[in-house]
Amino acid sequence: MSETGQPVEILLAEDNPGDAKLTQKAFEEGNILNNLHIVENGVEAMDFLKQRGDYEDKARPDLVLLDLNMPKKDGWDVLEEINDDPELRRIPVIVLTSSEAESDIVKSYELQANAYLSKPVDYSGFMDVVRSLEEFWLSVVKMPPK
Amino acid sequence: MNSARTDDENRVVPDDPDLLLQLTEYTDDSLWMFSPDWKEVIFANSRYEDIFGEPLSTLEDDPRSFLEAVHPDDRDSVVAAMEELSGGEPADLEFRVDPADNYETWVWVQAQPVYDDSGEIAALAGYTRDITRRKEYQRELEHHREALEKSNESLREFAYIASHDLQEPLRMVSSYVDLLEREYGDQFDDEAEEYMEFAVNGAKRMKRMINSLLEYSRVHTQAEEFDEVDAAEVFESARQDLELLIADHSAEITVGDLPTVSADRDQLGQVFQNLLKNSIEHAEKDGTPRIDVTVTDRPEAYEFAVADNGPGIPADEQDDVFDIFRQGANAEAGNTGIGLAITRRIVQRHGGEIWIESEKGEGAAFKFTIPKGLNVAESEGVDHE
Repeated sequence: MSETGQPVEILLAEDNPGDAKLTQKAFEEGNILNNLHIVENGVEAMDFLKQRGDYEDKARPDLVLLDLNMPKKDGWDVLEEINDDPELRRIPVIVLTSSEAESDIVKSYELQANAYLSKPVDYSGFMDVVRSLEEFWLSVVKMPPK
Repeated sequence: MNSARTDDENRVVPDDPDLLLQLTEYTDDSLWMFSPDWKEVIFANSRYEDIFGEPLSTLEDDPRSFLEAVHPDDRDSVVAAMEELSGGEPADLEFRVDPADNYETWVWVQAQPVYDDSGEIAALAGYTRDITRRKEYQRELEHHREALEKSNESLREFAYIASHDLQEPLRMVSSYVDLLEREYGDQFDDEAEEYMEFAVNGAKRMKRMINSLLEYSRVHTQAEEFDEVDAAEVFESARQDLELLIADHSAEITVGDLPTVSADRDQLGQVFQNLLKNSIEHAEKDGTPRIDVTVTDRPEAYEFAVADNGPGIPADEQDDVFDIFRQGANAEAGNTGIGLAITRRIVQRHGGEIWIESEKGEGAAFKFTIPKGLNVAESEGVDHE
């Protein structure tokens, strides 16, 4: 964690390579040491979280950034599965998506997402989001123990 | 000369009872009277056949035979009403008749028990009216309602596509042009820099336009039903929201006594806000900007006016002012100019009209009407996003 100087492990589940890269760049330019892992769909997201298949040797993430609309398994299902698993449930999940529809927001919170962020309109917006994320979650909030 | 007299129940009755009988033929309704047990016909005018498609003679043989002329699915409710009527309950029902016409005739029956002096039911009397045409109108209304629903559905779809699906490609363009500038900017010459600026600005304008279109479509997708709304209260709320702008321009605003109107509260607020904002931005720049808000009580509607002491709008430009994406000469930066288009759509939704009275150099008055009484036609069939 940030206190021990270890990089923060972040899982980004995002099927749009353009958006994935923007997020990645924003974190690279960020202030906190981090390892960003990117998966492209819900199936890989669950494999990563459960540390199985191709992701056996990966560390459990400290934070999950989740896009709602992904192929194979969408963000809703991932949220549900995270919620069903007592170990995974402790990991903060931030839904990062382009839908501003109210029903999507309510549904996200009902499924225990920790926060819902609309995708920014341009790159500097992504940087702002990362900055806020860093300030709030990584410095101020005490993360649940692994 | 036939004569008449007023009887003790305050009716005018002709001396010759045949005249009264003639009267019962001068109606399109089937007038009838049965014995309380429905076994005898006491009276029936000649309209029976026109409506039920069976000759009156069949009724005399067996009064309950008219049930055969009733649509099979409706018979049970007709029998139930007949039994209730025998028990003293007035009847009021609609059902289908005329087997020869495939039971396509709709009728409306209203009937009452007739009491004698001792309080017993002496007869059952009523009329049967052909309401086929009214039913057709109702069906058409239903079709129109469905069409309106479908139209709203397409609008919502459009709004969703505009606001949602278009954001992603827009984000790609904006963001990557941005990144190009950051990471390769020092390798660009002035020409490339300029290309970049055009691209970025274009993307920014596209985003504003998409959001404006979404706002415009919300006039219908987020429409509320009309309610009694205090226009004075709504105006004050709009004025407060524009506090800063008013202070910036040192504008002076006067308001008359605004009435209670039948409207969508939020939308009326938008109208006041848009017009007020527009007037403040265009009002007198050299002196004190003055905005005067008044209302005139017309027979069928309230006519509101928002007048400024600005440069005025020439007649040939007045219609264009309400177009989507139109920007006035004095418009402040960042304005896509859709406020007035939305204002017009809202006023139209309320069944009103909006127009400008102005001459160059003489200020401009934006006038709009809100009809009195609930405007049901436009208020129905709307949905919430």
